[in-house]
Amino acid sequence: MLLADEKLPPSAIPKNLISRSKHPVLNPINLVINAPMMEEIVAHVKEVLFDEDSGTCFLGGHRIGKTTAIETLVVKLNADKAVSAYFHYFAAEKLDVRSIKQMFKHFCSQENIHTKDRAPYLDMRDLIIYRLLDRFILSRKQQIVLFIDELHRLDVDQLESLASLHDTFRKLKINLCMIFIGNEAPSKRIIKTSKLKKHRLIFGRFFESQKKIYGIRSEEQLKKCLSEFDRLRYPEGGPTYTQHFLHKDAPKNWKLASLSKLMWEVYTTEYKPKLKGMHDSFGMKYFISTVRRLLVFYLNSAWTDDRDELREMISQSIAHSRIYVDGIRVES
Amino acid sequence: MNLGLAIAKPGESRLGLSLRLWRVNRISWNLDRRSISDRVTEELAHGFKNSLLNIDSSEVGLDAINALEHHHFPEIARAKLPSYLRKTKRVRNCVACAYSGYHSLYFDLPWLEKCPVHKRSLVERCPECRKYWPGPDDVQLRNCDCCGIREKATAKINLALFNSKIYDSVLRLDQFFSERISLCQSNYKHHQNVHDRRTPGYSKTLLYPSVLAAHKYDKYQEWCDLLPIESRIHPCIKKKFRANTDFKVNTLKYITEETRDKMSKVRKKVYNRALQELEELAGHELLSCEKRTGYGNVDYCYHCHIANQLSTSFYRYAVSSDAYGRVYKGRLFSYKLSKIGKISYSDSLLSYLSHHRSTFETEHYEIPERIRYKLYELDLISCIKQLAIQVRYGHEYGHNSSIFSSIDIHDHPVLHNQFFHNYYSFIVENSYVHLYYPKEYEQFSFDTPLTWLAMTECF
Repeated sequence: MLLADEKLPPSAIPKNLISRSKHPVLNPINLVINAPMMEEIVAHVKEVLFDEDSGTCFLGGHRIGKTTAIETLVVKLNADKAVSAYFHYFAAEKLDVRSIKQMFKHFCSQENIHTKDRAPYLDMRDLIIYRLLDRFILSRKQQIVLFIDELHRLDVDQLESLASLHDTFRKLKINLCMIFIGNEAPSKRIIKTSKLKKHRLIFGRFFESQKKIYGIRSEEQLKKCLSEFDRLRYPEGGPTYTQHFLHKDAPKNWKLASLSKLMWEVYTTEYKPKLKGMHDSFGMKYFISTVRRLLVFYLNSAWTDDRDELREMISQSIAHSRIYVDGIRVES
Repeated sequence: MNLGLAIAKPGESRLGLSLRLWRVNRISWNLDRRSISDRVTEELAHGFKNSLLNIDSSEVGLDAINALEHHHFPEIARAKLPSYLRKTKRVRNCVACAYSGYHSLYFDLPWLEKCPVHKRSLVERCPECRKYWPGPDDVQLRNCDCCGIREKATAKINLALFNSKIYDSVLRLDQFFSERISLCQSNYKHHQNVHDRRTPGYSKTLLYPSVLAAHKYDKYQEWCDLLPIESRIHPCIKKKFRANTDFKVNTLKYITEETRDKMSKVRKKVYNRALQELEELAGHELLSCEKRTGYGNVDYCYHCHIANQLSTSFYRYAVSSDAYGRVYKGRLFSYKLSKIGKISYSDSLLSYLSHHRSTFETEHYEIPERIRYKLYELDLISCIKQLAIQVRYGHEYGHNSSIFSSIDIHDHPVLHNQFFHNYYSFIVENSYVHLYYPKEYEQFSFDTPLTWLAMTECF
């Protein structure tokens, strides 16, 4: 399995053919903004760390940006000297055989550690322990936080082995806090199983304090997210994301955040009622898609400050984000 | 690649580092003949990119790991041992340390006889497979529970030593040796007439901790109490003089009358001091205990024997060959004491220093006259010590004075293969030259000659 760029064999294909646009707005995989859930996650993690808890769990709907938020936070929190923990990220994989060995093997491959096929799972676990200890010692922090994404892909045996990993670190007088992130609906299966008497240990360790996370749920949050496009610049010291795409006729100091009220209105009146049972918030994936379309296609091609036109643009952008599949209108 | 920082211990040698890396990467690496340095270099080049670990270093292999650890933990004291220190012939290890996958760089240096952690003797062979301890590149080839890594890796993770204090004694050695001194090469012309077989590397190595303590640490007695090599740290005398490089090595092969007189005065001073001390130790007038033992042989007490031999050496030609003219190499008598100051010398060649700044640049420093004569005096004392050792040895084996010349030290269980040599440590620093030598050099130590031998023995 090739996971890291450095393991890829040299390609014969010229790089410029496979390179993507450098501007983050055109390259959504690199587009990271401060989502409202990030603050909530950080606040909750800090509480957990204060108590040196063994774990917690974040659950949220699909496409709300859980993984991106966590990946971003891992880098941010590790760089923050005021935070007393070292953060490490693993993502569970859908495996053909849901065994403990396979889980550790997958963790090893994520860490770019080569493992032999016949290696027993304990050896693979040791590799992970040594890796975490190395990073922890180098970071000079006091606790380790292990974010394990895609909780719904794990089963109870695998959680048991993760609990024993926690015990190993406890013997070393290090708190290994495991924070699971999962999609709410499918994760309920594993959480329900862990509530059974024989698996209460797992529930107690990891799922006693569950925290629900959401996308955008208020106009204020929406405004904050839109302001990110008025704040972030590409390249550094260059124009803001908004300025870069805005039509030349637009006023110089026009801010994308000024559309927050209108966008929230469109979302709540036209889409929110249709999303009942599917989405309980404006997911970050859809929000990013909406703003990208708005900037790249509409506000880039012509300038208007007409409210109805803007409303139509926003509505079309939200529809094209596929938050509500029936809402896409095919233009002739 | 894992670094195994959690099981890193102070004072790790290259073998120790190799054992550690193997232990934490055993499942990832194949047990083939590839060297550990190649493995590490490859891992660093291909699969080891991480913001925490990336450092700009030209080091490769195990040195890169050391550089990386030093970069991240600059506050941890690390030993800086100079390359000129002589190591033991074979790798030595403590069996308990070997089982825990540890080898210290101090184990291969002669300052330690026992492991400071487990208090067990350092041995040259693995007790299980009876082979010599492996090198850093072949630990993976050993199929042995003690000296290899194959068996150990299957054992469950054992981090019992993490945060442990049991290696503190080695940590203190690291702290002590984190300072480093650079010694000058000294050239003494008269030495070639004092000692036949010179091996300054041994003395240099044995005295290194003493000189380091004297030069770098003011309160060196405190270090003596803390370090597991306290018996190897001797109090040193310090002499300081201005570094004079405006000095040309003179190759003239004659000695001036003035120098000859001064050297003669030094010899007389040393001789009289030795006799005085011997008389005090003997408790009677020297040579008054003469006993005839038949066949015209005369026997004395130990101290009078020394006095007798001393007068022979100083004022008559000391026998260094037998009646058939065969020269006895390796005999203590062959030091030709009588020749000192009486054969070809030039004043300037008596002694000077060479300081190698780089491969192509060597600076010479003059040793002032007062220091030169001091060194001459110390060398004379060392000759008298050798004489005393020989007499002591003769007494042990029942030789009488007339046949001391035929005693061969190669027969002696302790003295065989030993080379006795005063070593003077010169350090050039801040336009001054610092000379250090053990206090012991100034004493005759007739009754405790082994203290001096311990400073000069080979290993």
